[in-house]
Amino acid sequence: MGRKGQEDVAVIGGGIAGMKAALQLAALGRKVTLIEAGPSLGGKAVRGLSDDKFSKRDATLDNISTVMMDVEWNKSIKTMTLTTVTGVERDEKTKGFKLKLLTKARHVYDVCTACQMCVDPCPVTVPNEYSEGVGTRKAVFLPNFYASPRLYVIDEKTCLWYQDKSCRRCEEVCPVDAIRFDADQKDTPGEVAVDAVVLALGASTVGLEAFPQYGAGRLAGVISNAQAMRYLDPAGPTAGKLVLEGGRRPQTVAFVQARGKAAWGEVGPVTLRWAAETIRAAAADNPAVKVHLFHDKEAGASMKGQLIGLNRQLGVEMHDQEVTRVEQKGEGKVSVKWASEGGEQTLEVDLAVVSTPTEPPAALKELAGQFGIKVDAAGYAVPEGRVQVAGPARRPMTLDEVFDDAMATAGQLVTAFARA
Amino acid sequence: MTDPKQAPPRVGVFFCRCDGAVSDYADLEAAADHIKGADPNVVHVRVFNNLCKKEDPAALKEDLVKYGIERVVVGACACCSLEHHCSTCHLQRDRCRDNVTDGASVERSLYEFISIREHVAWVHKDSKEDANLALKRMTAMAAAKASMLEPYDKVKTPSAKSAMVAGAGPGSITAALTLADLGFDVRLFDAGFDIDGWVDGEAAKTMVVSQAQISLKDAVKLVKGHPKVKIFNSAKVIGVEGSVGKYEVTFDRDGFTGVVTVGVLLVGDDSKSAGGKGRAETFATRLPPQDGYFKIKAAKEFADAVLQGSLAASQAGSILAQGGVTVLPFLAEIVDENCIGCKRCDVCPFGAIGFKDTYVDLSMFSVENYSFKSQKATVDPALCTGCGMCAMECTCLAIEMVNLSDEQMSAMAKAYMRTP
Repeated sequence: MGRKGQEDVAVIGGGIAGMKAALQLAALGRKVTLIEAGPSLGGKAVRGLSDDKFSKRDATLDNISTVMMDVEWNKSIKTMTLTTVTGVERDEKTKGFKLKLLTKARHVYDVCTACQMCVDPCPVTVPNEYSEGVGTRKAVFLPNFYASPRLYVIDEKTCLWYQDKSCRRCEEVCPVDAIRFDADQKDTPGEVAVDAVVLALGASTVGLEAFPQYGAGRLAGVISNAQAMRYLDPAGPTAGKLVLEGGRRPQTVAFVQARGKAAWGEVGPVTLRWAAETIRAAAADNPAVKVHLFHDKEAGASMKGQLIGLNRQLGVEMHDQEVTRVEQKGEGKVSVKWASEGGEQTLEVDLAVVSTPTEPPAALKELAGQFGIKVDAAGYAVPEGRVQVAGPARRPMTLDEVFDDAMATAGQLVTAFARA
Repeated sequence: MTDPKQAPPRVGVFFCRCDGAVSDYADLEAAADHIKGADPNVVHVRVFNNLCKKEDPAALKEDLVKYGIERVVVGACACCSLEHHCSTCHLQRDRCRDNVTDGASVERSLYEFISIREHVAWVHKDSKEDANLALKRMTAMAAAKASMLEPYDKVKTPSAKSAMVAGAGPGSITAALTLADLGFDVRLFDAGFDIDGWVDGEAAKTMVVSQAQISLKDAVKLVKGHPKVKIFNSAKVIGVEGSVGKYEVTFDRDGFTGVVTVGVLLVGDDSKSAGGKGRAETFATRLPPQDGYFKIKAAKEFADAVLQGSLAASQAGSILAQGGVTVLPFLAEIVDENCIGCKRCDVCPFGAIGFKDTYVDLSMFSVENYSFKSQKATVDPALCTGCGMCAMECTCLAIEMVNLSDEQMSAMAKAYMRTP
């Protein structure tokens, strides 16, 4: 707990909203503890498109790797990765909070230099969940290309040592002795007392499994927009090339917007904006690609200018129609179907990219309950007093809005300190 | 200029392997041996694995004390491959500088950086021989210049701890309250008779400006009674001069003009309501784009306007909280004796060149008791980015680039020629 003007703040969630809020609070003279559940900072945004296309507003300075480095080097920010909040105690006297934390073991000591010598010997290969299932990873891995802290991590669930103690090859090759199975790291509980909390849990993307009409993720010719972004990311598994299984390069692509549970008017513009980014990247990767964009009228109206730009510059064909079904049509073809006045229409394409909507993250409701704040009908948290909510945990928003919102949250917290 | 009678400065040379990204292409150890023999001023050379890690800069700073090093050459990456040629994004290039200079015994301006990753490893990645030669030459040139570096102590200019807020809409009121709560003096200018002209609506009573549950109506009251806020009713800003840290705002109030000095400017955009050219646009035409000017974007709804106000206040507050404006140790400086006030240097894209009135006397031509009014150029260090455009235009040798002088350049050229 700090004295007035130098309060301690805990920011929960190390995605772009959390990092920006933490940096802004630090710039305003507050001490920040940044708590991230995963092994690296970066959140969802780091899995988006390439670093230089990260933010339109300030492409040179605010790309995600520099934001991560700013956080890492900031003296007022203490970053805790692999850490979750297990309990909250409210201190009535100081109006602050005492957070109980649990830091999971990384199983790699922080002398790790990320030399990647442990990767090749590791016999375990699993789909990379940090890359939306696109590409694979080993049991010892770096969570993302720009990982901060730049340390490897061992996944207990897949590593053979934690199953039957049958393999310790990574330990043998590590040149700096960062992996020590005999003196292994353990989960450590912790505690931090703070004056205020910023919840920046971000949003989670609904998987393709939730959409049986689009093949529920089982069709070879249908991928989600998040997966398409991984393919098109120069730092991703295919080095920026949209190459499907068997080396197939799709020549015609349909972009489909999926309707989620939340109000379409709010989520629609966000998913459509990401789809527009993906289309631009796909056209840069393969200029000959023919793109059809199916979008909702309501969402399309909110970014009419951008859609006209896509149409004029890249020849993207617009359909303001809701796609009812996507079916596999033989080897390497899918047919996209929608209803119109003249009956059902069909379009045959090589690949369908489904933009799935975002949802409030699963952990948000419980965490909001612990801090005593409400969630609204759609499941987003409502900030109150010294418990602030930044970024897409408050409402669906585009990346540029997240920047504004996270920085504004820091300002609002300051007034809360002065007044409460 | 370094006094030749003084003992030669002790120069330390440090290289970064960049985890192999440099050392795979060039032999850093050979270059280290070479520079030790070639330059008598070099007293210590060390090769680090990765200066981006926290341990290596700490070890570098220890070496500075241990070997009594006075000038430092750091061979590392530029973070940005454009190095010095582009002066618009000095923040990225400065990151390594900040890491190795922060808290070091040698001051910031006595460091010389060479980007060996870009100019050696990347440029000469096909030929190890070329890479080694380029590395040796660059190191010799940097060491020669480092011996002649001059301390430049004006790296921080003080800043006024106050802000101007123009307008009294919901965004401006929120910004004013936030900045005042942060402890900064606020000068609020409004053309209206009273700042609460618009708060009668129902929305103003229910909408909260911060999560401390203050309604907009209350916020206006709080701003009015805040000891840190001074309100100028029926006032119009008619001129702004200066740069971030010290703007001089001239205002007209019922026919009387006055001047206030502030550190940052926040301008509420009223283009939506006023129609045509709004306040923010008028400001933007008067000022070149720069760090201390923030536009509070207009919004349709109170909630968005409040968010924009918090955002602008948060960003402006973080500049004021630094207590001063940090300037770069390579800037243009005017040699007053040589300047004839021809204004050829008025090509500065950043608006850093200004002119002051002086009297020129002709005593140097043996003409007594005669002087005439003239002007001499000035440089605002907070705006100068060290691009050198003004120095190129000057025909009277009246503009010198700090630490980029002719003597230093010719020493570098000599070092280049000496290296085989």
